[in-house]
Amino acid sequence: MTGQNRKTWRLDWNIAFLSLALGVTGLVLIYSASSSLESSFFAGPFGRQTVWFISALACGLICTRIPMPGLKSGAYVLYGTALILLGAVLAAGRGDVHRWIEVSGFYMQPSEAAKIACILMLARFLDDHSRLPQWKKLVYSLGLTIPAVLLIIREPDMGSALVFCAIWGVMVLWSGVSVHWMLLFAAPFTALAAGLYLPVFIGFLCAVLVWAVWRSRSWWKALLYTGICGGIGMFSTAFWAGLPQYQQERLLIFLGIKSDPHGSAYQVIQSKVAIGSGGLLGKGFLNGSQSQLRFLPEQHTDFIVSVLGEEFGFLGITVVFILFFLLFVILIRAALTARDDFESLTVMGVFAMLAVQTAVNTGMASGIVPVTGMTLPFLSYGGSSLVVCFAGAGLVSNISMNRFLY
Amino acid sequence: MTGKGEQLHIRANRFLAGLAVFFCVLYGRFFYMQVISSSFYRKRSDMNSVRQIPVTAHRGLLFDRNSRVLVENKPSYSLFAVPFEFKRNRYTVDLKALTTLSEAQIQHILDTRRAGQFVPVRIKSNLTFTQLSALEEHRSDLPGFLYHVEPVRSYVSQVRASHVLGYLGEITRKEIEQNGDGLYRPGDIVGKTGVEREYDTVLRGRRGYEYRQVDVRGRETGDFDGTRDTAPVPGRNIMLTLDSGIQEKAEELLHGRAGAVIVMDPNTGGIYGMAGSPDFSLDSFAGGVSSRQWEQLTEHEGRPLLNRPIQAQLPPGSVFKLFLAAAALQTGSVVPETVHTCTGSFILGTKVYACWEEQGHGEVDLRQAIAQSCNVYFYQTGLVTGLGPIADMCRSFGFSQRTGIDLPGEQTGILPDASYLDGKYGKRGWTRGMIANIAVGQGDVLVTPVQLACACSAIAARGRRAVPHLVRAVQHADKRSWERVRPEFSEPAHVSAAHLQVIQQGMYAAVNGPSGTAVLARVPGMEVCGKTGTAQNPRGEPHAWFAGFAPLHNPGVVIVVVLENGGSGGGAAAPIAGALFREFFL
Repeated sequence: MTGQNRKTWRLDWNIAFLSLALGVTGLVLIYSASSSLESSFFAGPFGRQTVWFISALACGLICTRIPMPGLKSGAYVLYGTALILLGAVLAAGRGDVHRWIEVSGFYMQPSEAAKIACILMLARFLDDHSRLPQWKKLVYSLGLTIPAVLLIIREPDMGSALVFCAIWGVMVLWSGVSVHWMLLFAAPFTALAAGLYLPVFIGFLCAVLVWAVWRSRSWWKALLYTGICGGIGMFSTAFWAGLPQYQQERLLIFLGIKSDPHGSAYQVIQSKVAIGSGGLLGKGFLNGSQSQLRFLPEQHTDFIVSVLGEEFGFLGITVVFILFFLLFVILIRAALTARDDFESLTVMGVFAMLAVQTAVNTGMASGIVPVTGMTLPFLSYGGSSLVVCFAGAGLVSNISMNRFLY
Repeated sequence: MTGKGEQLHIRANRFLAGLAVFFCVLYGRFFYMQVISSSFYRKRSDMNSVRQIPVTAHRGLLFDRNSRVLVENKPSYSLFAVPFEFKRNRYTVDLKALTTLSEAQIQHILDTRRAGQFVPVRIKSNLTFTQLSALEEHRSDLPGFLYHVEPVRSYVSQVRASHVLGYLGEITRKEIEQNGDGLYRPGDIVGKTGVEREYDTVLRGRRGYEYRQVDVRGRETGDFDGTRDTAPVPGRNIMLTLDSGIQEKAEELLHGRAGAVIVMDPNTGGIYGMAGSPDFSLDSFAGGVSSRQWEQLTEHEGRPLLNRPIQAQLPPGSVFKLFLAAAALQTGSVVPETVHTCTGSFILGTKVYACWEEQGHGEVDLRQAIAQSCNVYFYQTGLVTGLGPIADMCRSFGFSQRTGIDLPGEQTGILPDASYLDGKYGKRGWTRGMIANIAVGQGDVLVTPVQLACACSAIAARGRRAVPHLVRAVQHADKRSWERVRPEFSEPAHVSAAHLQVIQQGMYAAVNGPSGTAVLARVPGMEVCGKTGTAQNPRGEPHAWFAGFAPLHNPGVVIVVVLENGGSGGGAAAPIAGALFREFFL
C-alpha cells in the first residue's frame, strides 16, 4: 500500500478483499442452491443476485468516498426518511408480511437501509451528547431507536428488530456507558419476560439482588431495585394476556417454545443433516444431496450456510469463519484508530450489525439459536441485505482512510 | 472519549474477547457436527432424508338444483417421470410399448412441464389396468418412473353441460404467475373453463403435506414420524342452479344443430338450463386430453369449444324490436295506439326497404306490429325515435356489456351508436338507412344469447334486471348445511312498467294471436309470451331466434333459443322454445 495507491483508490484493501471474498462465496453458493430450480438465468435467484451484487459493489464504492462530516450533519434526516419508508411498507406492503417495496420488479426491504440510517443517527447523537449522564444517554438513545424497532416488529420481522437492539447496545457501550448501567437499565424489561414463568422469575430476581448488592454495597437500595423489578414482573401475565393471539404465537415460535406450523423445526433438522453430512471436506460443488434435492426450503436465503457446510464441509466453514473473524477484528481496529468519535461509533455500529447477523444466522443453521429469519451478511440471497453490507463495508473503509488525513 | 485512549482499548479488548468466545462456541458446534458426529448425519442424509410431499385435497363435487350429482371424483392412476433420473438412465425396455410414449415424446413433455430436475412430472393420466400391470412387471427396468393414484373427474349424469361445467387441466406457467400467492404450484390440476375455473378456489380446497423418508435416490423408504403432517382441507361442494331435466331436454333439442338455449328465472337470474351446440364430451378431458383429440376439437368447423350462450355474438334480428319499442314508448315517439300502414315496403331516399311480408300488414298498431313483427312499422318508429335514444335504452337493458354471469370468457356484443358508426364509417359516412337497419336488429348490432335472456327477463320482471348466475349454493365445510348465493341485481332498465306491459301484450299476441309469428311456441293452457327473430347474415341461411317468457302474469321462466343459420325464427326456434316451456311447466 503505497501512498500513491492510497490516494488514487482511497480504499482499505483489507476490508475490500474480505468483503469481496465473502460476497463471491455467497454467489457461488447461491448458484449451487438454485441450480436445481429450473428457470432462466436472469429470472432465477442466481441471475438476480448477480445484478444485485454489481449494484452492491457500486454502492460500496460510493460509500468509500462520501465525506463523513456531511453524513454526520445529514444523519437525522436520513433516519427520519428511513422511518417514513418503514411506515410506507406497512401501509403499502403485500400479503400478510409487509417487508418489501416493489421497484420495477425488484423488491426492496427498507428495514435493511434503515440499519445504516440508525447507525449514523446513533453515532451522531452519542457524539453530540457525550457529556450527558450515563442514564440519560441510555434513555434518550433508546427513545430514538425504539420507533424503528416497533415499526419493524409490526412487519413482522423479529430478526431485524433484534439487529437494531444489538446495534443500539453495542454503540451505547462503545460510547462509554458502563455494563452495569446497561444491566440496571435492562433488568426491568427482562423482568417483564421472566415473569411469565415462576421458576425463571425467582432465579432472575435472586440474580438481580446479588448483583445489586455487589454493585451498590447498600442493602436497602438493592432491595428497592429488586422490588421494582419484581413489581414489574407481576404485570407480565396481564401484559401477555393483552397481546393478540397471533403475536403471542409469534413470540413463542421466536423463543423456540412452540414449534412453527410452517416448519421451522423441519428446516433446522434438514439444515443440521446437510451441515453434518458434509463432513470434513464436503460432498463437492453442486453435489450436496440435501441442497440439490431441495429438502431445504429457503436454502439460498437464511440457510445458505448449510449449503456451504454440505458441499464444502468443515474446510469451507473454516475458511468462511476465518474471513468473518478477520473482518470483525479489522472493524474493531478501525474503530480504535478512527479520527473522531462519530466515525468510531459508526464503525462499531456496522460491526454490531454484521456480527450479530453472522452469529445468529450460523447459530440458527446449526440448531443452537431459535430460527428468527436473519440473513448471513455478504452470503445470503437478498439484494437489500447485500447492498447494505457492502455499504457498511464502504463506510468503514472510508473512515479507515480518513485517519491518514491528519 | 478524547484522552481516554486507554479506556477505549479496554473496551475494544472486551468486544474482541466476546467475539472470540462466540466464534469458538459456533466453531466448536460445527466441528462437533461435521467432524465428530459426521457419520451419524451422513447416514441420515444417505438413507433417511425427509421429503415434503404435497397431498392434493379432494375436489368439491357439483350438484344440480335438486341435489343430483353432476360431477364427482374417481380414482385413476397417473404415470410420472423424474427429469434428473430420466436423463441419466439408458432404458433397455421398450418405453413406447409400456407407456405409449416414445423416449423423445417423454423428453419433450419433461422439457415443457418440468418444475425442477427432481420434481416428478405427470406424463400420462388415466392408465388402464393392462398398462398398469405391464408397468408393475417392469418396475425394476424403469428407474425414474413412478405412478400413483390421483382423483380425476367423473361425469355421472346424463347431462353433458360441457361449457357450463368446464374441464380441468394441468396448470400452465402463466396461470401460476398470475396467482402469485402460492395457491398453485407446478403440476396442479385446475379448472380451465366453466364453473370449474370460475370457482376453482372454492372447489380445490387447500393442499396438505406429508413428510416421507426417502433415500438419496429419491425412493420412498417410509413415513416420517407423522407429527408434522398437515391434512389437506377438502374443497367445498357446489350446488348449481341447473335443473337436470331441463338441461337434458335442451341438449336433446339442440342435438345436431348449431346454436344455444338459455332457460332462466327472470326474478333471481338463476339459470335452469344453458346449452350450446355443438359441444364436446367432458369424459374425454377427464385425466387429460390427448393432443390428437385437442386438435380435432380446435379445428372442427363447428367450433365445439366456443361457449355459444355467452360467447356467440350474433345479429338479433326482429327480437331487437322489443327494445326499440321500449325506447319509442319511453321517448314518446309512439303511443300504443299509433298506427302505421304497411304496404310491404318502405322507401327511404332512393332505397327500398322491404317488410318480410310481401303483401304488407295493412294498418297495424304497436301491439300488432310486435305480434306480426312488421318491419315497416319499426323502420318508421326507429327513424322517428333516433339512434341515440335507442342505444341508451338498449344499454339500460344490458346490451354491449357483460351480464356478469359467473362463467369465464363472456363476450360483450356490439351496440352501434353515433360515435361507433362515426368511428367505423367516418363522420357522415353513414346514412339514415343504417338506422332503419339497426331498428330491425340487422346491420352492426351483435348480441350474445345470455344478454338477450337477461334483457327479456327485464321485460318479464317489470324492468328489474337480475344478474344471471349458475351457482345456487356452496356447501359449508361441515357438509351439513348450504350457504345460499343471494341473487344480485343490476340497475333497472330505464322504462316504465306500463310501457313494458304494452310490450308484454304484444309478445302474448305473437304467440297466441291469430296472425302472430311465434304460434309454434304455443302451449295449451299456458300464457306463453315471445318474440321471434330471423336475422339475415352473409353466411347463408338466417339465424333463427326466439326470446320469450311465461306465464304472462308473474312470469316464472325466460327462454331464449338461437339456431345459427337455422332458418326462420318462427319456424325453427319457436318450436324448440315451445317444447322447453312444456318441459318446464308440465
